[in-house]
Amino acid sequence: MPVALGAHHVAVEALAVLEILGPREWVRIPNTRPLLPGALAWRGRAIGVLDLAPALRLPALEAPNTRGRNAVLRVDDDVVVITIDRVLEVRRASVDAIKPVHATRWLVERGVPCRGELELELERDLDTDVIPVLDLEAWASMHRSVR
Amino acid sequence: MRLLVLAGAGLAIPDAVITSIELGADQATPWLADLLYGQTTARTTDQPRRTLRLQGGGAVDVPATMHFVEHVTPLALSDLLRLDPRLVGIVGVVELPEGLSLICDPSELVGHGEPVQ
Repeated sequence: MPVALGAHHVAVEALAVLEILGPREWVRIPNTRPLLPGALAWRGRAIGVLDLAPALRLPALEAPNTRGRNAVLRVDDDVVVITIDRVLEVRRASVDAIKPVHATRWLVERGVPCRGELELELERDLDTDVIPVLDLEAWASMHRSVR
Repeated sequence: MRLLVLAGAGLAIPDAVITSIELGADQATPWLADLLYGQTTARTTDQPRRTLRLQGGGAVDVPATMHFVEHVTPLALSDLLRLDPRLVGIVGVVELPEGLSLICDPSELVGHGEPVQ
């Protein structure tokens, strides 16, 4: 499922998406990592808010409101919500279509693991774009291991 | 759970960790927001404040605008947040009419007392 944040596009595994929410209130939690700056309420829990903006060199999310869309994602046995500007049409992609990270290596180097990258025509009449496919399990594992 | 809500600060404190609320007079008492967020928060000297005396010793200053809420159920932090050892003093999150608030245990921040369960 491709999503947009500013002028950037990234993709997440569509089967991991539990729900797409509109804008929500969130609360900043001190001393967390820049990509996980706080939490929002979802189904009786406080789930972590994943903000890719610092890795994309975009302005970080400001409390108290998230961006326009929030994708709630299952990550291993946990749940996080990635806050983005737009959700694009879900695409089917074969495993072969996901190439090793090359053009989007810069994102990996900024602490966001990726499974690979896809060439997609994101919107009608637009040129094909190469977008990274996030590896949120690896991100969560990295998040846990660096404590 | 009964909580003392510091509405303007977006914070709530479990009643169980507070022994008394006093007029703030001791300049040496740490400001709660500074303990939580580092020395970056605005604090004017003429801002009305109160001193919370804490179970197990220690005290923190907080804004004077506060109220109690009864029978609230905190939202449990997901594991990615909860298991982060740097989240000292953060107990959970609570949805209140005035918005989402962080529940914190100041006694952990000042190094006194047992963590709230």
